Amino acid sequence: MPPHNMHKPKRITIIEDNPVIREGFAELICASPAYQLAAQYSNCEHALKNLETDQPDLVLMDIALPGMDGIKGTSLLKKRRPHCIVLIITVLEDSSKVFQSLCAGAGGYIIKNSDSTDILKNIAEAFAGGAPMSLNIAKMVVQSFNRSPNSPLSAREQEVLQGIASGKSYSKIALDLFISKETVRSHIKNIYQKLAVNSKSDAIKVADANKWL
Amino acid sequence: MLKGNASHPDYHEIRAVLSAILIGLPLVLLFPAVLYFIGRPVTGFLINAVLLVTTLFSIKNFAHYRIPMSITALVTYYIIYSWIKDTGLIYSSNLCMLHMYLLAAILADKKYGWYAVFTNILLFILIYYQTIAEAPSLPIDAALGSPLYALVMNALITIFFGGFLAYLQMDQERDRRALKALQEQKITILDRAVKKRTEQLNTMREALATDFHDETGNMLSAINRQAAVLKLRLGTNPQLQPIVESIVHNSNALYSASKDFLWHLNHDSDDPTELFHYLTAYGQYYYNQFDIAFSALEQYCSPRLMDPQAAINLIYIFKEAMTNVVKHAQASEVTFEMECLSDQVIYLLKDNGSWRIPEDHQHHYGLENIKKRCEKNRFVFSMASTPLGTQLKVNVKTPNAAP
Repeated sequence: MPPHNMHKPKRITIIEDNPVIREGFAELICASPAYQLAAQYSNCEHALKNLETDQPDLVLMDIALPGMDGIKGTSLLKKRRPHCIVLIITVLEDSSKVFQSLCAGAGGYIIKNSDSTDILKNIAEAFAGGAPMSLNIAKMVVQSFNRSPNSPLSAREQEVLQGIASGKSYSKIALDLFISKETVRSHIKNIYQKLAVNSKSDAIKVADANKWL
Repeated sequence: MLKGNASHPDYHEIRAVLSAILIGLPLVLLFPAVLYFIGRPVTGFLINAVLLVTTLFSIKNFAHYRIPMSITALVTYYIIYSWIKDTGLIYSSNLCMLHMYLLAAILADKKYGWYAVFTNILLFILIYYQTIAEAPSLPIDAALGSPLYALVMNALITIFFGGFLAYLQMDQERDRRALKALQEQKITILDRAVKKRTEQLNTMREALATDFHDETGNMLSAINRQAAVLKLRLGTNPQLQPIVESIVHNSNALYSASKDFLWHLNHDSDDPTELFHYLTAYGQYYYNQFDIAFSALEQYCSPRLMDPQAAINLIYIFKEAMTNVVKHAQASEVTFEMECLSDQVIYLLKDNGSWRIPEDHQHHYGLENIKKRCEKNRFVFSMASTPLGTQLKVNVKTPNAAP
């Protein structure tokens, strides 16, 4: 990253149809000097239309939206702006919808009910190259990778994924694998990236051979 | 063991034998009562009656009848044969005793009935040959004609009984099949109704969960977000900040309680393993907020169910315990374990810290709440502390565990 960009606030767009929640997130971001509110929308269609003007570095995306849902929105947004991080904002962290969003290219998720500090921490972690993963999401990820014979995951990523799926906390995984918690989180981010790629090839294979699902 | 137990495989068979003997016994005793007055021997009937009573006692004491029944059959044959032998062989009126015996055998047990059909015919043939051998000495022979006629008539009567027996069996088998088909039909109808109802309930539960997802959860999040905005705008106002924090705290507590409640409604929460997974997921999420190494150790548990109310109470117990570990134990490592015994499941929360002796009321209440909840739900609670750590153990009865 060039030096003049070091302190440039990151641009964040919010897509959430509940105005109270949307404005709550907006005010939190505005209050943080590290971030700049690029725009806020109540639907995906408008957000995608203004994507080039807004130039977000990160998008906070709700799943259930009027019109196009957050899963489809994530997929289209990532195609047009691959380096933009999409974080899903959700009520329940381990729903299959969150998993589908991760398959569509989301880099993580934030629980809508979290404390302000946790929300800012999650956003900062996402920028630092990390992501969270719950036990149930880990189980869904394991199943998804198990469907294809050649797993794209590295041995370390496998260990991290298995650790989470067996109920270990990040600290426990870090302790067992002699790595830092940050490294655990960066492995999770890589797992999500591979999951998105894997899901795409999965979809193509399904269309081609129609032998799965 | 057999008494009143209609589902026992031998129940109907023994019941038939028993009722045949109970009806047959007074009828058998009718013969000596009458024959005594016309000066005929009655000992055979009395021996037969004693053997029948013995069979009755055998059924009562050992639920067994085959050996005494077989002895009774053989002795009866011997007695009847001795009467026939002395009263004109194939022409003897005592031959009717053999038909009577056959009838009783059919009534008592169909298998004995078939044996009796064949043994009677064999006995008739034997008597027929004895009649031929002694023909010149039997003056009645001339009056009654050929002994073959008597043999054929007696054999035909026996076959006639055999026909009845076959019909009886066929009829019973047909009834049994019809009854079974009817039972299966009823079971299918009932099964479908139960399935339909379960599906309806599941749809209702799913709708509840979706509602929570879309409405309640969002509303609680909105409260939380508004409280957060309020907190930002208020700055460090010492009077109003605690109120805002209390709003956030209460909204979070409601959110968490609703999640538990919905999980309890929506999943197989009476399955101890499912509960273990839920609590493991919670422990992982909770301890991820701190620098605490949390892991879970699961032992295979044969399929079993807990009391429907057990899960929600165990959730409250272990959430409280997990919170207490952070608040009071100063532990760096926590393990959650499940062990299964034949009739119970044990949940264990181990940490490498030491729970402080209660200094404040809050901690005291926390542990007291856990104990009270265990007591109320008949869980066995125990807690052990060593310098290496603390272990909290809850035993839950699962009486319907599969072997």
